[in-house]
Amino acid sequence: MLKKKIGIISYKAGNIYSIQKSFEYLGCEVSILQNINKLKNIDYLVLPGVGSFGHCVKQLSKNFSLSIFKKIILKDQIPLLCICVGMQMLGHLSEESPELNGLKIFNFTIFKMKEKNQLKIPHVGWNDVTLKKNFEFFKKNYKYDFYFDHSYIVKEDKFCIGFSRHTEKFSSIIQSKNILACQFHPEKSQENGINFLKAFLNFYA
Amino acid sequence: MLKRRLIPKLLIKNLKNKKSLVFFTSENFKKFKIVGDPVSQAKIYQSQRADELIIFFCDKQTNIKNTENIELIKKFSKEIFMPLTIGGGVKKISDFEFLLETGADKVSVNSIIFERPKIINEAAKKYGSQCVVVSIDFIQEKKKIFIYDSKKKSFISIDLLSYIKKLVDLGAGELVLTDINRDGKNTGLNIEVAKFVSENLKIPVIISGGCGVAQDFINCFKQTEVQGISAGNFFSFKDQNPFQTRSQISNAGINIRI
Repeated sequence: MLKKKIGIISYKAGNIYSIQKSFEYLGCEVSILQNINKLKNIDYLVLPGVGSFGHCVKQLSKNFSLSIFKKIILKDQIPLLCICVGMQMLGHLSEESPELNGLKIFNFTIFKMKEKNQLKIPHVGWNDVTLKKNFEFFKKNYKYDFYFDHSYIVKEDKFCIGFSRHTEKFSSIIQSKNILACQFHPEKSQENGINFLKAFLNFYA
Repeated sequence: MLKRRLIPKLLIKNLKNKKSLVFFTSENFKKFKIVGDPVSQAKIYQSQRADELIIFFCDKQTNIKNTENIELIKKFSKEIFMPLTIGGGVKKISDFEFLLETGADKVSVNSIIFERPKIINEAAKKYGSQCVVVSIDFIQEKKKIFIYDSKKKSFISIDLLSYIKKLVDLGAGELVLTDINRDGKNTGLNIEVAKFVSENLKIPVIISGGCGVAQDFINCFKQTEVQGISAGNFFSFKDQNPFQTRSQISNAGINIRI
C-alpha cells in the first residue's frame, strides 16, 4: 500500500513535531512545508496553531501567501486538518487580536470564553466532545475525551459536528467539504486523538 | 464537563558519571532518588492513562537548549502522545519558541519571574496565556508563606495570593504550586493553601508535594478547586499507578477520566 502523504504547514507557531510523529505513527509520510507554491505529492494538509490568534495570523501571512493557501483549499480542495488556533484562523475575526483578519474561509468570529461561576479559564485539560453525527469511528450522541488548551472559542454553527461545554457550549469539531477542524489537540489526546487523525485520513481517503 | 487531572512529574538531571539524563524524585527538594530512564517511565505513565506530564530540567544549566535536552524532548514527542509542560531554566522568549516547537504544549517559568516578571506578559502576548505556566515553590510556617527563589537559594516572605494575582494579570495561564516541606514526605497535600489559592483565582491551579495515598488526592479534589494534582514519588515508588489511583478517585465521585 502506498503511504499517505501529509504536508504540515510550518510557520513557527505550533507544535509541529508532535503532529508529525503522530502521523508517522499511523504509517504516513510527513513533509514539513515551508513553501506551498508547488505542492507535489501531498494528499493531506495540516494547519497547526499554538499561540495567540494575532501571532499565528501574522506568522502565517509572513511565511505563506494567503491567497495561494486559499486557492489550494477552496479550489484544489486538498483535504485539510486544522488544529486549535489553526481552526480559529479559518474564521473572520478574533476577540483576541481584533486588529487582524482571519482567513475568512468560514463565517465565524472567535470569542473569549465567558466567565461563569468557579470555572477556570484557560480551559485546560480533558473534556468531553459530543458528536452530532457519526464520523468514522466516532458515534453520534456519544462522548469522547480530548485534550484542550485554550481561552477562545468558536460558537456552535451549522458546520459544527462535535461540541463541548465549559463556561458555555462551543464547537470542538467543525467539518465542511474538504476541511476538518478541531479545537482540541488530537496529537496529545492519546488513543482518541490517534483515532481522530485516523478518521481524518479515512474520511478523505 | 472538564475533568480533574493526574499529572506525574519528572525531574530530570544529568548524571556526570553516566553521561545521560535521568529521571529522579526528591525529598524536600534535597535528597534525590534516581528512578531511571525518563522516556521509558513516561511511556509507562502513558499506558496507565496519566492525563499530562510535567518535565523539569533541574541542572544548573546556562541554556535549556542544550543538545541533550533537545534529544530528550524530541524522544518524548516521538513516543508520548500526551500533553507536556516543560520547564527548568527558561529565561528568554526564544526558549518558549524552542520548547513549543520541539514538543512542549506549555512552558513553565520559575526563577526568572523574580528577575523579570514581564517575560510572562511577553510570552502570553505571543503564544497565548494557555501555554504560560508559572511554577511556584513554597513553604508554610504557621500562617506565613515563603516562596523559594531557586537561583538565589533564598526564601521570600510574601502575600501569596496577591503576588499570584499580579502574575495572572501579566498573563499567566496556569499555576503549579509545590510545597517544599511536603515534597517526598507522603504526609498529604497542603489543602489549606490549595483551597485558598484555587478558590480565589480564575486560572487553573495544580498542587504538588506530599501525596502518600490515593485518599490524599480525593481529599484535595473534594475540598478545593484545584484542577490537577502532580506527583513524582507517588507514581514512581508506590504500588499505585495512575490507573489504580484514578479508579479510586472516580469511585469517590470526582469527575476524572477513566
